[in-house]
Amino acid sequence: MTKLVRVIDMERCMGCRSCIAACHMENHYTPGSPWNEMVEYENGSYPDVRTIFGTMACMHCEDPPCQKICDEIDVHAISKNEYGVVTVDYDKCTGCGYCAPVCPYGVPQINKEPPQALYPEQQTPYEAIPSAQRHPLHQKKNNVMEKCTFCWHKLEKAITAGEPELIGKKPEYTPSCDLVCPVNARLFGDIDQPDSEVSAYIGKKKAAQLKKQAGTNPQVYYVVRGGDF
Amino acid sequence: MKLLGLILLSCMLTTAFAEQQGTQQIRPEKELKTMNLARIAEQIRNGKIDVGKDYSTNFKTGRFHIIHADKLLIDCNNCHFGKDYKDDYQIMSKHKPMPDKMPGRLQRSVCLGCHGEGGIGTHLYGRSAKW
Repeated sequence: MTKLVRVIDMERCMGCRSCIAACHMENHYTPGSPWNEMVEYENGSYPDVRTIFGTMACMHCEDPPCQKICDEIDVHAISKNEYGVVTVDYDKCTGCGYCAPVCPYGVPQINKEPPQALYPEQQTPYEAIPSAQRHPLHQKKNNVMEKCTFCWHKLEKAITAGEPELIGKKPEYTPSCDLVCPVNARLFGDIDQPDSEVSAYIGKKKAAQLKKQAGTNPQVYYVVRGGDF
Repeated sequence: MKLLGLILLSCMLTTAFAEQQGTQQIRPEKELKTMNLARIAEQIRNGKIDVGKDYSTNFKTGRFHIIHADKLLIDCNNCHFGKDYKDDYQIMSKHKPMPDKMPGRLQRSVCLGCHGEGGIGTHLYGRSAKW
């Protein structure tokens, strides 16, 4: 079994937002419906104060409530594949918005804006690709749910090439946000391999899932000061 | 000495009985309310109560708000609260501007109360050791 997880070390993150820029470039999300967002808060009291940064994207829960509610109302647009990645079928999504209130992390974004060019004067190489020729998860539509896909279009390449063990190791098989972190605050890989980097890091730094009380078993782990919260 | 002991014992028993009576008075009210909500929820699921066919979160025509606000009579303030943030805010929306028609942030613990394992609503959330 392969269970892909991400680890975000909030003790190392310095809030540069490279991961957000990388996600924007890779997935071309509209600014009003971000797939990856930086959260920052202050900790301590003057003069012993520090700012803590962390990025939030889809947690790819093992028991995703968004999928449960989508199935409950017979839309079946959200699915979780064998690698643990939760994706949306834009053709099936009706934009009802039920997934948004049930997600404990506030991840689903109902996109109401048409995709805009990054630079008004010229198209980027990605924008020049006609929509029909893009990966299905990049064929954006209005009024459907969008969210982080763990860069499934890249992971799929590894699986097609028969190299799933290289996910998180080779740049072309790794989510873009995890590649660009200048302080190595992000890791991505298979938690089911006991010798994998993510497994070791989660154990060593006691990384924990956020909002465990929802019982959705997220596949994104955070290293936060003082351990779990 | 024996008489004093008997008096003390009877005092303790009277206090314990009074406390028990007190809890018995509160408990049935809560249970009744939950049972009532569960009954309405079951009737909605069975189609005995009409909540429309618009699967959306539109607060006038969508089933989501018709079920929760109109039929189950959950007060708006139970889920939405003002500009103050509570511990259970929606993480990604914390730094976003307030949507025009939304009277506050969503408080997730309200959903978990009914939609968790063993709750009266449709089971959406898993079991939690902390909950």
